[in-house]
Amino acid sequence: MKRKLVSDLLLLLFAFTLLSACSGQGAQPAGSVGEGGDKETEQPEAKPADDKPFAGVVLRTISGPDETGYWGKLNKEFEDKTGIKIEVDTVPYGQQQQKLVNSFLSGGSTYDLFVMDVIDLPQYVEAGWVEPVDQWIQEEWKTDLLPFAQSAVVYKDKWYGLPWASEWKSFVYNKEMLKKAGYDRPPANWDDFIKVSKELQDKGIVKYASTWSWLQGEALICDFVAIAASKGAVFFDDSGQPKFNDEKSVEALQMMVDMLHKYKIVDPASLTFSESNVSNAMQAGDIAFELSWGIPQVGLNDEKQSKVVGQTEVARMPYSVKAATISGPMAYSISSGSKNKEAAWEYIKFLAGPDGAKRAAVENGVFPGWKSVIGSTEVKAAIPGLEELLEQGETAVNRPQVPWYHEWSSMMQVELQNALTQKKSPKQALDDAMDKTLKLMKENE
Amino acid sequence: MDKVARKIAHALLMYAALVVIMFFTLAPFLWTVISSISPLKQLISVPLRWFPQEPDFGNYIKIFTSGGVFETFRTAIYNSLVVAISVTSVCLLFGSFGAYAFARLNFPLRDRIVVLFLFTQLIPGIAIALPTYIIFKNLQLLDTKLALILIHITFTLPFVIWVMRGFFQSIPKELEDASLIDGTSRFGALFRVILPVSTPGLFATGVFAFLGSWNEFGMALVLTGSPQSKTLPVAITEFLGRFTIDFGLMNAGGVIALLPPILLSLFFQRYLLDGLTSGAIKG
Amino acid sequence: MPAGTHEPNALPNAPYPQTGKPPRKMMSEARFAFWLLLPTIVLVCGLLFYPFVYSIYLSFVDLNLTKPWKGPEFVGFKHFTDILTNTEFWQSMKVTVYFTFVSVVSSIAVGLLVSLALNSRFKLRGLARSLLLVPWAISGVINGLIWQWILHPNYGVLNAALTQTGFTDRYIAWLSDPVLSLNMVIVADLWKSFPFVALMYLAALQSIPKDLYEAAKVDGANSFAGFRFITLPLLAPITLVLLVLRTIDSFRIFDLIYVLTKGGPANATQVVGYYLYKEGFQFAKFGYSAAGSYVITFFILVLVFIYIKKLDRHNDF
Repeated sequence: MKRKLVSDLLLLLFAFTLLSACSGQGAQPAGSVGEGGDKETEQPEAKPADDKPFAGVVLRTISGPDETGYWGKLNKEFEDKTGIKIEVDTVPYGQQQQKLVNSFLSGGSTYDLFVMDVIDLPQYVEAGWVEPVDQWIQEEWKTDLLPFAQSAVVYKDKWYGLPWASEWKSFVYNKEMLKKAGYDRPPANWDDFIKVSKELQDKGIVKYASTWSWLQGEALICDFVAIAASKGAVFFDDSGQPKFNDEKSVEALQMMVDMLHKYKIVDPASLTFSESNVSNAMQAGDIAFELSWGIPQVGLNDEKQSKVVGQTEVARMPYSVKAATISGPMAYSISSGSKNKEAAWEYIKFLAGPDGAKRAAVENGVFPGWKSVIGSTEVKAAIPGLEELLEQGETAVNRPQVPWYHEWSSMMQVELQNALTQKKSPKQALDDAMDKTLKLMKENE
Repeated sequence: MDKVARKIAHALLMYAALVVIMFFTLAPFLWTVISSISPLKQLISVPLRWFPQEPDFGNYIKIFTSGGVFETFRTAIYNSLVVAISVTSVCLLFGSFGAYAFARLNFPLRDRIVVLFLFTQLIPGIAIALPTYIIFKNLQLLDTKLALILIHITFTLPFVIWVMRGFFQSIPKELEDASLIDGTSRFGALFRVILPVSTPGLFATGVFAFLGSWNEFGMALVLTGSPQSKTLPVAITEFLGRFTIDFGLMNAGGVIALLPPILLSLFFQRYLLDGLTSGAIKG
Repeated sequence: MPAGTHEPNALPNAPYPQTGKPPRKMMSEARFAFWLLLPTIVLVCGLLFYPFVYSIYLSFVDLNLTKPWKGPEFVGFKHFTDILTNTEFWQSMKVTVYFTFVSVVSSIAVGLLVSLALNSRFKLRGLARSLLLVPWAISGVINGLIWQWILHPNYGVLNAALTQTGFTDRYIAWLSDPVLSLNMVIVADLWKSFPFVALMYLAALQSIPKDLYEAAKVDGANSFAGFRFITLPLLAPITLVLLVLRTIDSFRIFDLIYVLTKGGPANATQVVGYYLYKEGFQFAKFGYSAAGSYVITFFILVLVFIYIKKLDRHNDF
């Protein structure tokens, strides 16, 4: 009885095997016409109508998750308008670089378009992976970009795309919690920050006053650059020489270590947390302070995900020498391997030109990099707390712009964490980072 | 009397050990399941309340009915199924061909080739990831399920052949010879004599191949891009990054991804346990 | 499974036996074998052997990605000497060796103990044995997801359990401390790896004839002596196999690290597999990364060779 069942099952399995093997075999040559065929239809069809010169073109792009569905909506609109179809590969932030480099190495035609972080620009330009777009840039645009947003699209006097999201990190505090502790304004300098944090914890209002994105990742560099700048430190001087082991940087790192281990006002989990973990902690009401990208209050005032609706305010990050924060603008760019660069430019213009940027700001809360857009009344009305945000944005500093940024950053993350986990003193960690940076510079001369 | 007491003590110790073992084995899995049906508020309360008062299947409903990310996730389930089933079927077919050749036929360099096959398992995935990407790019197969199917088959076949060769060798030769005398072709002998007798082996290797493909992450990460080809492990890592706060949802995604391999191995456990061990014991 | 390296010699390598098969309408064996193996050969040559050769080529070449005007440049053994003199590489090797050693030893020890416990007769033994398959069947990625949640610094169930039972008075950030985090990663790995070991040992234990122990008892040996002089020696061959398999697996660990820690904090969990992934795919140093992966493969081969030498000798008595 059992034997019978077994052999029946076997027969079934093999029938299936044969079938799928055949179809598998059959699909192999067909693949280039079938699935791969989508990519082959890149050639415009026979006679496109005049108002849709690129009808039938398929553009492939790679970008981060489309949380709100806004980009999907826009892609549809764009297709209706121009006949250009947009295919999107959605990947989380950390995987994007890897996929792009793979694509570039095999000719760069996998993706026509991509979102490029400010830190990627020098490398991509030096390697010839990204297409210059100067020929299409309109004259009035050249003076309309905010300086930090410009650094994401212009490198060595050439344009490589349009600003897609021009964000910086803003300091956010929970005013209800502060009120409970007896404060009616946020801490202005770091000494105050430490004092207020301790008091919040002593009074049992929070377990830890703040959480930071100090994991071994890019987010740690962002926070460190912001804090160091607020202490007056400069990473590279004007001639490009690194000087981040000077007193001011060491003092900044020392303060971060002390906040973790001496004052215990920073959640030790920070060492494993990325930005989203921090935002979540703020939304959950676990902490009183955070440094957050973009327009933090959109999430914080969303009833569906936040327990602290209406309780938070944006303010300048505490500082001891000069107000500062970190910027992280991103550009939308064309791959130099793309076979449809003009169509790709149409898309970028639609998405990230001044008009597109305005829409994105109003409808999706994405920060525009254009001065004219930020100054417009629609945008002012649409973004909560714009004044405070802008005040902060003016103080934003960029990370170093070098072609070997990823290697430098990765090394730096480890040295910073060496200090934060107390494996090394801050001075030692930054000295070591300095040595390694000089070595990197020499290798890449 | 003393002897009885000792026996009881022994048994108690035995059961205590067993409880500890089973706890460590199952607790992480069970906690994932419990988390997936607990309301979020409860999961992030301190002190933790361990069991939901009433199970909340909202996360599963969300995953199976909502659009956007969840649609991508559902497509990933489908992709994983298609890839894993194709890989399993093709591996069993070609694997039994190959195993038969190595077990029963004589040809030059036979024993060297079979060892060579084994050594392919040592080729580091990280080294061949970029070359593989370039090959599929040239074949216009990037971002297709077919690419993933082909590469998984290639990784799995040598292993399948190795294991099945062991099974075939353990089948008495007389069985096959008898049918050959009766005028059956070799092919017929393979299908009518050898394969039916090695069912347990087929089941076992089939489950291995399925699990290997279902769980594979590195190549899937490199070769897939859009929802049309992404498999579950890749989709899960995205899920992880996206729902850092919605722990219930994250765990529900995890449960969905781990259920097929667990059910499959429990269903075929008899063959699996024999297969798992018989090959290695002989070595 | 390099245990197979010497198996073929043990095989009866006789020519096709003296059956009365009619040779006329059969195609030659070599030819038939060729046709049977053709699909496998095509796939293995195309998708394994060719990429393999290509990656060897890459490991001797600098692609000069950021200096495209230079083009690919043959650099000889530069990648190999670079990697062997790189401190971060050796740091990651140290982490990997610690991880491998503790993970292999603990999984084999725990697996052996579990198999001994499950080897005695009791109710539900079959069920217990089956349930061991649960962690085994789960992928590295899901394993990472499960343990990330268990070890969560603020809401994790491990913290909840430890504080509610009074072992600790505060929540611990398991993955924030360099030493602790590596060991927690090992625990997560152990959970997935010990069941396989246990199942293998269990099968081996059940194949040991009971009368061996009876005979030993008659000779006056106690049960410990029985274990020491009968069980352990008979488990040596399977232990060799397990050592080899587990070492290869642990040495190449990647998925779990990718999901759980990404190498942090302060590189404390950066195993060599993750290091090479980073160098190759994030810094686009493919030649360097390929060279490194062959260095690792060489290390693994040496380890396997040592195991076989040691244990085979051990085996001979």
